Amino acid sequence: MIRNSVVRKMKVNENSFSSIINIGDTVYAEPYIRAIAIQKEGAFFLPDSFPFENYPIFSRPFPEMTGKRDLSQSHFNHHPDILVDGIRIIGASGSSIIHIGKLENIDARARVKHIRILERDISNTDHQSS
Amino acid sequence: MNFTVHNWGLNVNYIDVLGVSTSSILLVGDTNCVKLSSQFDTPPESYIVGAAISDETLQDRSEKQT
Repeated sequence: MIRNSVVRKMKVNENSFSSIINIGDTVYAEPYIRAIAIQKEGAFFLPDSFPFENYPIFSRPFPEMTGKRDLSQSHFNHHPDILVDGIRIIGASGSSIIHIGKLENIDARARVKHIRILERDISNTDHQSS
Repeated sequence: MNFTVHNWGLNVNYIDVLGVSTSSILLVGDTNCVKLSSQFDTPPESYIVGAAISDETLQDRSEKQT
């Protein structure tokens, strides 16, 4: 027997980049995100300048958890509800999940690559002269 | 071995969260198995000084400038 999740009030400001707000039961969730975050001096961007294939992080395998042992277990839910009076969330981002209700299995994976690009450094000469 | 869990009443007053980020979950409810993995990469070589982005980009750029 599973418990009901009772949330009286929930407020979420932002739900971005393929995040999910789920009310109800779920059997299996497998969110996955690949992201290249570029901070670049001089706002000049072209599409397809940064293909995922260029960076090994996007092909490196995730370490898998092995050796799962089956454990005989019994649960006794003496109260049928999980009660929450209020939830406030500023933001959910990057394939994350806000879930009210039973979530049987989740296997979430994320790959994030950060790149900083500066214009050619002309400030060095200024520092030397001053 | 037998693992026994007794769930007595669960009452939560208020949950205040700033952010739920990549490969994370905020869950109000029961679950069986949770696996959350994340790879994050910011090595020193990601810090590029100068315009050397890719050959393609440089070509496009020079074409636009001329």
